[in-house]
Amino acid sequence: MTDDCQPSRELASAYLDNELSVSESLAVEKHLRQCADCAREVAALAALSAKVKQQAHYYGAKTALVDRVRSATAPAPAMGYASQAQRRNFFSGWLPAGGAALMVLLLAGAALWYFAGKNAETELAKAILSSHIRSTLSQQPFDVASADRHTVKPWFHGKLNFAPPVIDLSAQGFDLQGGRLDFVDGRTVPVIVFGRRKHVINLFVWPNPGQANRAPSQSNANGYNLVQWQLDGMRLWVISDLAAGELVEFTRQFTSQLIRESPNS
Amino acid sequence: MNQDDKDKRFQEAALPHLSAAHNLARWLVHDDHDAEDIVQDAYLRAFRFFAGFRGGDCRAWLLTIVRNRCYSWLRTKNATGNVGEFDEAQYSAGVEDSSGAAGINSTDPEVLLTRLDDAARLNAAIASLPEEFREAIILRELEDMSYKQIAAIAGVPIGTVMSRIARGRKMLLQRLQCAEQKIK
Repeated sequence: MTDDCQPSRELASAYLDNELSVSESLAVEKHLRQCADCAREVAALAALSAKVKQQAHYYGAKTALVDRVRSATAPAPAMGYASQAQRRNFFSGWLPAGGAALMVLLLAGAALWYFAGKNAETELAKAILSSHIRSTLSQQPFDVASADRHTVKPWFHGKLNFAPPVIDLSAQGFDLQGGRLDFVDGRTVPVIVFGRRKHVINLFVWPNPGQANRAPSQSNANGYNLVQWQLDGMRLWVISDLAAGELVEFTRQFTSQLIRESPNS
Repeated sequence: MNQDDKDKRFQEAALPHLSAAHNLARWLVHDDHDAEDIVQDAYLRAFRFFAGFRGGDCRAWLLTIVRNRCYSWLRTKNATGNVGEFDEAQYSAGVEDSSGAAGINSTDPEVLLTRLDDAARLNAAIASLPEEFREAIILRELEDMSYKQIAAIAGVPIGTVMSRIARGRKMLLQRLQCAEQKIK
């Protein structure tokens, strides 16, 4: 190991996580091309990171916990005392009645203030966000569950007046999980559901003829990432809790596959 | 807007992150039952203080509360003197069939690591990391969070997150390599 190796070793992890500035990244890359030892070290770190993503146990919330929390934060009657029996000791006496009433007023006022400010956000993004959240809350986020596009695509036949693009991206690391119909912006919209590790990606698509193609643009709402674009007379939105970079990658892969499969090209 | 709407808003914003909350708590406290209690407690707090949440990253906000609850729970448990930083019984329970009598009661994580299959060995190695490294690795790898988000959750500068993730990964690599060499 030479003196040149030191900075690269320190930055290797951040380099793999895309957390370095462009100039730092370039410096690390330049060094990795020249130093086989460091390149090996970075490869080992990358393999470890992939292994952790795949094999580390993910302790998701059990249905019972979801129910407990849901009823503990349920609309007013259940909130105070109805579900007391389900709570653990240390929650008893959590809220005296007067405090509860005051809290209701405070929260309602603040919620009004908070959500009024959100009006600037487009109705469409909101509708898509709601649909995504509904789907993650339900046990079954799709009406047809299949990893086979030849099962998912025909399922939409007769339910829509167009054929939505159902594309297999499993080779790119995005697994087809199924599809469903949702109601967004006053129309029935097909939603194609993909998965990446534990993350659900919902793709919304509908015909929007006469509009010029638009490059994908990325935004963030309530901690979810959204990407929207227009391609060949279709409007497309994807939403996920996946990292923004990976969702943009999905968009790129989906678009290039779509163009490849398009009958016009 | 009435109270029911507010409750619904909270549920729509917060419930989808329950799994992330439970996963973090479970990795920090090593116990299903305790993790569930902590998550419920954290969610009730979040519900109370939802008014103070000014929009933005709801998941990071919730995980901050969950994390803080975990640490105060761990402090209390430490103070009462029955804490296990690394619960050997838990990770050796599943391998009793394949291992002989010798070493079953070993408290040496390295000995223990040699007795597990690949995935179990990885999970045990992560569980054996000191908390600050463990939480950074879990948030980074399992929740895909950026260094900035992790820094906000852990209440430390981004540079600290960077070095914790780098050191955490190195420790993991060393522990896994060590275990593999012993098997051979």
